Amino acid sequence: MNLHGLLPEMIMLAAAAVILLNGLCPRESVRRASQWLALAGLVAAFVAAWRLAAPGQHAGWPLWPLATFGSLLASGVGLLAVLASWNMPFKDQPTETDSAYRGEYFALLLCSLAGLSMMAKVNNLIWLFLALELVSMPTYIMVAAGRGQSAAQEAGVKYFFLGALSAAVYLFGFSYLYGFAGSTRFSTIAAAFHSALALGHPPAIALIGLLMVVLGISYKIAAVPLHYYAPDVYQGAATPVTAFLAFTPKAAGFIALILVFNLTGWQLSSSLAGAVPALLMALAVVTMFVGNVLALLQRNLKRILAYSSIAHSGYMLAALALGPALSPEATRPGELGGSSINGLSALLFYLAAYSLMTLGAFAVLIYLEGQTGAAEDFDGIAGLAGEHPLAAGCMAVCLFSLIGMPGTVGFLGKLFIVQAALAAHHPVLAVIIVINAAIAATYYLRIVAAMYLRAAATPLTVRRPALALKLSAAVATFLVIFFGLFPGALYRQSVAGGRSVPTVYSAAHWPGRSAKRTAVGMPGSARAGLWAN
Amino acid sequence: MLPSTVVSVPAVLAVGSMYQQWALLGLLFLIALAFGVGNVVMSHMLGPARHGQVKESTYESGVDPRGGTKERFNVRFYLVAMIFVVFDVEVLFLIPWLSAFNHAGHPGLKLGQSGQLGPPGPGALFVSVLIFAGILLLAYGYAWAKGVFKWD
Repeated sequence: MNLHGLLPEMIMLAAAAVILLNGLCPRESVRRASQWLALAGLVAAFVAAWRLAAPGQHAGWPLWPLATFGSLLASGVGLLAVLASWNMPFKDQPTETDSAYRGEYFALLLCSLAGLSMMAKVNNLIWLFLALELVSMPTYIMVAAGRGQSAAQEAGVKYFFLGALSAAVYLFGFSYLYGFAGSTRFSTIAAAFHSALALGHPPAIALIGLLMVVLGISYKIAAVPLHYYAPDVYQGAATPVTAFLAFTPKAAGFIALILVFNLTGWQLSSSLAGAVPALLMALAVVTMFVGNVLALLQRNLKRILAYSSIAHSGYMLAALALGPALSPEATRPGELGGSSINGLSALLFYLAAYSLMTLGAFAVLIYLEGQTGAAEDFDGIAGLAGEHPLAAGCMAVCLFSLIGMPGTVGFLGKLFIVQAALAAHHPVLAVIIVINAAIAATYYLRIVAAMYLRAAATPLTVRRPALALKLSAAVATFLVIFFGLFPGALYRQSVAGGRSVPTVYSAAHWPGRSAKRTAVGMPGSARAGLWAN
Repeated sequence: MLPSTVVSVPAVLAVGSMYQQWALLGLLFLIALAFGVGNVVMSHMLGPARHGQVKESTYESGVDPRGGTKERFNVRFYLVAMIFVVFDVEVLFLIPWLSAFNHAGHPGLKLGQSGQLGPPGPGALFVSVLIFAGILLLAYGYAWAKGVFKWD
């Protein structure tokens, strides 16, 4: 990969730098350009990512389709996130003039998206850590952006300290992987796993490293066991930030997990090593049930969406546990389990689908948030269909998609995961996913019922409905239906991304191996020995 | 540790039985524990034990301490500490950069056969460090414009 391959990230970071300076201008009219600059930067990054996603680009980098999928997702959904943040009150106190923190907010947002975009372009554990933290660090500040409220302060502190803990946990796991392979480079670690697996099972130190990485990253994706921060943080943060949190760290975490498991060659099936995929599967099932069952108990809409976010992580973890292998029946269409989509393709498709539908739902919530934060619970949105039929319609479509109703992108996402589960001969997992979809329907339909069947308890107030905000809800809803009916483009990108992950180890899959790029002053021959055996 | 010995570790671990692997982890834990406890005990036993009012007072950069340590600090100290980190990180990266600059072999950015970067030349290294310093300068300018250096 040359520098050209990093063009989307460079555009995003340059835009972030310009926005940061622009936000310092004392004139409010100039500061208001921050959103436009963020929008322009992301459009440029999207175009760059789109050009890089063309077939034949960077053929020497086998995971390139996965990398461009990350870039397209970051810049595409990031555009909707910027539109949804258009109206955010960027101030500490109600007395302050508006937009004092506008520049910082959009600069941080772009930095975080750049981290996500860079995620699958790394070939070293250190870079993986940097990309993951580039995603997370800005979000810590963004959560605390509404500093005037104690809920936001609590959310910010909780999110930061748990984030630091999780980073320590997976970094410790990285150190064990380094201790196992003697290098932080992906190529060396993959070779070490390959030779260890050829001899039997990998040593305990490598497996413990993998487990700690899974545990640490489960924080980023809001999965059990580090899920419990999600409801408090989602509730406490400003709603545009919550919408951003529901998508960016999750996507980054899943791509990171794909990269880490790719090091093992997806061959962990012997007695002790087999515990790792089994654990992933168990975490997926527990995460689904915890998210869905606890969401049933909630009254606050943002908490419901937080628990739903946990549950959706469970579905995606299940897809991850299925791995990149295609079933032997895949070549014979029409047979049960004759799916041409592997677990990772299903995961990527679901990631994009979930981002769109959850962003649409949050965009409607931002639109409705009155001066008193009225649209926080069921009473706040009661009778919405009568007063704001379009907003209620957008919300309903996104919720139906989160349930997995046919005709929406959410249905296809669940369908592909279930297909991949059946193809991999895990029918029980498929049944559990369907059961969970049924449980989830209860709380999503409760929101729909409140909007359509109940009368308004209090007159709904809408805070300065900006066109951009309406646009983000409308575009997200449109895409949910569009990709539900014509999934072609999204499907192709997901399948390319998922299929680019090799199912068997081959030294040729690891670029940068022959190009002796050792650091200056280091003996170049020390690394070559491992590849010889 | 030499890189060659590090590389040979996986083979050793894989050949050994499961218990040996866990024994290695246990050994690592014991070494860590012994290092921590040993340091405290050794300094207690071997160190010179002099007592006195000056010796037992709080160290505050050589100045006589005034008052307790649990008082509130001005929040500006924290901002200055952050600015310090900006320059600290800059120096931290500039020194290895200097070392690499001396070894830069090829002029300009060279693209290898598979479109990969060759070893960067002096021109590319210089531009990259300018970008790096520019980004840090941005942080400095940002702090300046936000009034971090205004002490009144």
